[in-house]
Amino acid sequence: MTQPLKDLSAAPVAIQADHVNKYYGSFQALKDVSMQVKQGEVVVVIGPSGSGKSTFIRCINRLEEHQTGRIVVGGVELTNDVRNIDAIRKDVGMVFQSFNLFPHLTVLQNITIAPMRVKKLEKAAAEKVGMDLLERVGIPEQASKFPGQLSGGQQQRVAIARALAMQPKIMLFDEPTSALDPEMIKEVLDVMKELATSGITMMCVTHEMGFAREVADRIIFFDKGQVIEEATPDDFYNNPKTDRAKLFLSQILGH
Amino acid sequence: MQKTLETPTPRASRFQLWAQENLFSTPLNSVLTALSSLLILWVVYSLSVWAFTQARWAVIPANFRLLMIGPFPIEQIWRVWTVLIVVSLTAGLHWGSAAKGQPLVRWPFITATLIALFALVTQWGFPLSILVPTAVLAVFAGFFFGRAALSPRAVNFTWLGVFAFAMIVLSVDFGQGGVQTRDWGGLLLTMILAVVGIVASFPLGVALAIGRTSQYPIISAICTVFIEVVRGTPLVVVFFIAQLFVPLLLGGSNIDALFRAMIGITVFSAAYLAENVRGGLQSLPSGQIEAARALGLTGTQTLLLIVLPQALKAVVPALVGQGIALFKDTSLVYIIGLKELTTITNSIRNNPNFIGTEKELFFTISVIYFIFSYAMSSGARNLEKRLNTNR
Repeated sequence: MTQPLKDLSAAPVAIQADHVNKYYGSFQALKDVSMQVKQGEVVVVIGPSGSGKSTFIRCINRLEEHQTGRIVVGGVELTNDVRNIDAIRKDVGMVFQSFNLFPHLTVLQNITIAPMRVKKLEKAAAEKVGMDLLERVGIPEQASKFPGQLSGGQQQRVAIARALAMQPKIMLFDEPTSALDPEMIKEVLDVMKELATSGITMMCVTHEMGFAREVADRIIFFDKGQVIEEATPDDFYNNPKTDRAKLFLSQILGH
Repeated sequence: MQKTLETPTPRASRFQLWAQENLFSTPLNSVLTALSSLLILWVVYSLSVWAFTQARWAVIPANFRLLMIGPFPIEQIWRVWTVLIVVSLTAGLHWGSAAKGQPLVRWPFITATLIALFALVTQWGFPLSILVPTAVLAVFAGFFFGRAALSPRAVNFTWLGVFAFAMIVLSVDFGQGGVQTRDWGGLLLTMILAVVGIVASFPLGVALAIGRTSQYPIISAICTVFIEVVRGTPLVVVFFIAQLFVPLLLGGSNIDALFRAMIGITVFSAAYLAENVRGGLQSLPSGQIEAARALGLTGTQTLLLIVLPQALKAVVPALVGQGIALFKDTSLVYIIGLKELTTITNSIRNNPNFIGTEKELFFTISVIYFIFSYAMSSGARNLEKRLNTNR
């Protein structure tokens, strides 16, 4: 055990997916995906490229629309009802592979725009929140710069702070380190590790196996749009049950 | 700094170095330099010979008032001066508010020079000897007040007020008779048409661009048809159509001809502007919208706070090019009988007293057109510099 097991058996459900299917034209991107994430749980989703793991995480805040099945986030079901989507997005933060910071706004404005416009926070209060978060991700001195003046690792830390500024109950990470130079991956993972111990619900698509092993409560292995295997990190890495998972692990850990 | 001081380079040799690098770097470059120098010398020489020995410049001062304001009644000219002084003051405020903590920038000086030049051309007399210095003073007073006390945003709103003020002062009857818009003319009319066209076509064009990219097929279809129809029509025809159809749509045949021309130029410019803005909208990575929506911003907030600022920034050069084109296209309103700068020039050269002076006249108005066009593109370069966030 690399970390003490959290007892999540009594925790309420944060994300519930039942028999979710998604198609792009005739291509089926998600096949009958069912899974559950408890409040405070840290789930890492891994799998080969094109396995549908990013598509699935993007369905949770409706950046992608699923066609059949049910997704319930924080007790609210995702339907075409815009109010439900808005309600869920307020509680779900997302960090993207390509950062997607707003280049025309300063770092601090990137962080304060949602609290001010969505939560109607006063500017001073929002900036206080923003500076606290920049402190937390370790770059308060960059507050008045523009994203284009920051390194990739710094930009991704701003993106994490921006998502946290809405005080979400759930954080989604879509391959947050895949676009980074190797020497910048650690600074982002360190922020994410700190976050993982804070009790927030986290769902993270990543290829960082060390990170997954260290912080995940559970690993979900995707392939060809399906959930192939769910296990604790120790079980998954030491005794993978399926041949697909064994093959995947041998490919990525073998070199 | 220290190092360059150790080896002082005489001015001439620094120029020689620059010339060697840029003008004579290769044999081909040397030949091109020589040829273009000859060409430039020839043009400048011929023009100078004409300008200093043959040209009869008297036609310009004699008709300067016509060129500036057309048939505007002379006894009402205080209206124009009032507007000019208020605009000078606002321009000063504008540059002042943008120059926080900086020394005097060049624009107030350039404007003052232009106004002084203007004074030299006109017959210098009693009212002008007061009014011209007042306008110059207004620019500088505005600059220092704006720099001390105003934000650029406040001045932008001031401009809207100034425009409304100008429209009222230039026309409304305050007891001793008003001025008909058909008596507006010359550069004054050119400026009014250009300002209205540029300012009004901007929101309309942006709305059309957003409409064309809308997910609702009806809205998208209406905007697309509108844009394509207008873009498929020459501006001259648009002016005719505006003359004929605006009364039909708004009812009543006594709608002001200038107003119809304003509608025509606005609609025409908006269609082109819409296509430029659409280019900017489509150049935006989809991740920007996803990030905004994931943060909980609504569709409208995403559009206004995230998409439009970036899309418009991307197309500033195209929009300014269009503003300049519109400014010059105002000359086409001669077709519907409005007496703007080019029309007036044409009528002056047909005046028997000034036969044979078209060279002087058209040279002068091309300088006037150039000054304003160049000011626009120069202002746009500053704007681009200010908006660049990747320094």
